[in-house]
Amino acid sequence: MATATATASRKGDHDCPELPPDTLRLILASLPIKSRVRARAVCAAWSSAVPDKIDPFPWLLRLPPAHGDAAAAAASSPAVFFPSTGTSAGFELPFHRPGTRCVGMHDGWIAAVDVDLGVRILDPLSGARVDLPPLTACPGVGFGRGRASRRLHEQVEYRQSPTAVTEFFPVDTFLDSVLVKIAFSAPGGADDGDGEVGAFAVAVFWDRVVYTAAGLGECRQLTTPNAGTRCHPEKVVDVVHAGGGRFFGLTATDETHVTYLAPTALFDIQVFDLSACGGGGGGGCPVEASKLPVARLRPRQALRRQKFPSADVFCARLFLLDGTPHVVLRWWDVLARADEMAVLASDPGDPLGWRAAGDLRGRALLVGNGCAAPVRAPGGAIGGDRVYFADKVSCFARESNRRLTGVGTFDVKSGSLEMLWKDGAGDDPLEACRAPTWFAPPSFFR
Amino acid sequence: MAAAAAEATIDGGGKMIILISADGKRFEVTEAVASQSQLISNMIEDDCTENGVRLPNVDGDILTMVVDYCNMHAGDAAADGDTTKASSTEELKKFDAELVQALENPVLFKLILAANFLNIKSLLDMTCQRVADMMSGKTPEQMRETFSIENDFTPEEEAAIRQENAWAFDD
Repeated sequence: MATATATASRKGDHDCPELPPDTLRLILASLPIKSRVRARAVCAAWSSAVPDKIDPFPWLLRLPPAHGDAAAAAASSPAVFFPSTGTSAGFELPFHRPGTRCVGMHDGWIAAVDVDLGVRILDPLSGARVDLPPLTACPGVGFGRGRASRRLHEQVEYRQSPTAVTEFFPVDTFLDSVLVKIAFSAPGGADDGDGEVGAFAVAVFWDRVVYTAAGLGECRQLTTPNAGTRCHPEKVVDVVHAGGGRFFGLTATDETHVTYLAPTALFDIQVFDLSACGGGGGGGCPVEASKLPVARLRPRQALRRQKFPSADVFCARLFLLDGTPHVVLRWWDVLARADEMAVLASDPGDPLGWRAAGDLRGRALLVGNGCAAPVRAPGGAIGGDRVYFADKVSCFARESNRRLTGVGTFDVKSGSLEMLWKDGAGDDPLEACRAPTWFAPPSFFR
Repeated sequence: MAAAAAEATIDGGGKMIILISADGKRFEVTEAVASQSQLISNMIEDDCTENGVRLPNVDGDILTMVVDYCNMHAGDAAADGDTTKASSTEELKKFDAELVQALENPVLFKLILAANFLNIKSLLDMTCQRVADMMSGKTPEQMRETFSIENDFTPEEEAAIRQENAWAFDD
């Protein structure tokens, strides 16, 4: 045995001796996934040391909770779920800390918030990252000395309160429920003309929106036209980056004062242009939202006309498809019934201003925590014109003591729904995981 | 006599073993130090270390490094609760870092081979991690340059591999 190894190492007579395949495998296994794939293109020996097929994108990133029972602790490393094969695998997320949540995704970058409310924009494949100001720099957010309440609904009365948000919440609740999303421009991305790294970001809380920009050095509160109006409180439901520092926001005006979106909620698309306040000036004009010339969406009317079985919208997400605003709507029971999801497209020619979208122009829409992004669907790994969604228990479901978990796909063309993974079926891709987020390499989003 | 014998047992077996490198250099180490290598540990169990252990594919200069490493790390397995040892863990880390940082690539690779052959897990992990650190974030061309590896692919083969996972090569 010794002599066999001896001849093997003598064969590599040039500068670096050849490494035995086992050792090479050991080295490559500890690399971030992007470098591992690149190493395959170095030489034949290295290529054969990484025989593992890389599962086709997109991947669903699952981050474990910070605290939990022993079983949760055992499975407490990040993992990914592959919708194309229905399997899961461990994933080494660069700079991971226990308790981190993913609260946004754009062009293959994810926004991660840790338990100290530090914010980081991260490319999970290459490990590139940009640190943003922490959430504690946002007006009204901080670690207060107030007593955290056990139950979320006790806090409803504080929602209009301009005082520190975290004062009233445990960190987990804050990250899962109070912080809705962080939208940002992809560092060095195609849509960021100046190539300014991490130039713009918007954090959405359930009662306020804050923004930061390169050269601003702080977080500021964003004002929407009807913010703070007590009779028509306006709530920002979703924000997406539309390129060049412009963000489109979906605001819901809820006339019935209920906690969650009511059937009578009206949706507006607003635009926040941060490109003017960032950059060299730094003087910082306050950013105000202006309404896009897009018709106000009345989901109840649009859905009735399309003969959808329900008009009670539980969840609405905004996304742009070739520059046209689209909204994907979901009923809270969507995982139980096949016909409870709809995609509406803005259409100026329509009497209601919106029509049910018949397709997604060949793209697949990824809906996860903090993300609703159309991607190219190459190679048949995932189907085009489909919505892929993953959701964990939301506040609404939690109160009714229902577990709504699963990964599924909704065919926009035929209206059929199919579960890739269903609650209780074997390997649970969302078990011991909060806030699942999709991601794929940047090239999938162009 | 009795005291000397007692001391020997505290050392974790004062019996010496002779390691002989490929170019004939001899190293005398204690059994405790040498048995960090799983290979030698097995040989000690089988009682075939009497005439010295020949290591035909480890050069003298590489074996010097390995023996240095083993001497430094001989303590951590034996004396865990010892406070004087605990204070030296910092030192140990520094020693490890300096050991791998300073190495030229061919030497580093030879050290990996030696650690692999002698089956010293901690040394193997550490050296492999160093190589992994050097590889991360590099393009295939830079990796080849760093480790002076010849590209033995045909252009078609390389293009096919890049095509398979085009996302990893897009910058």
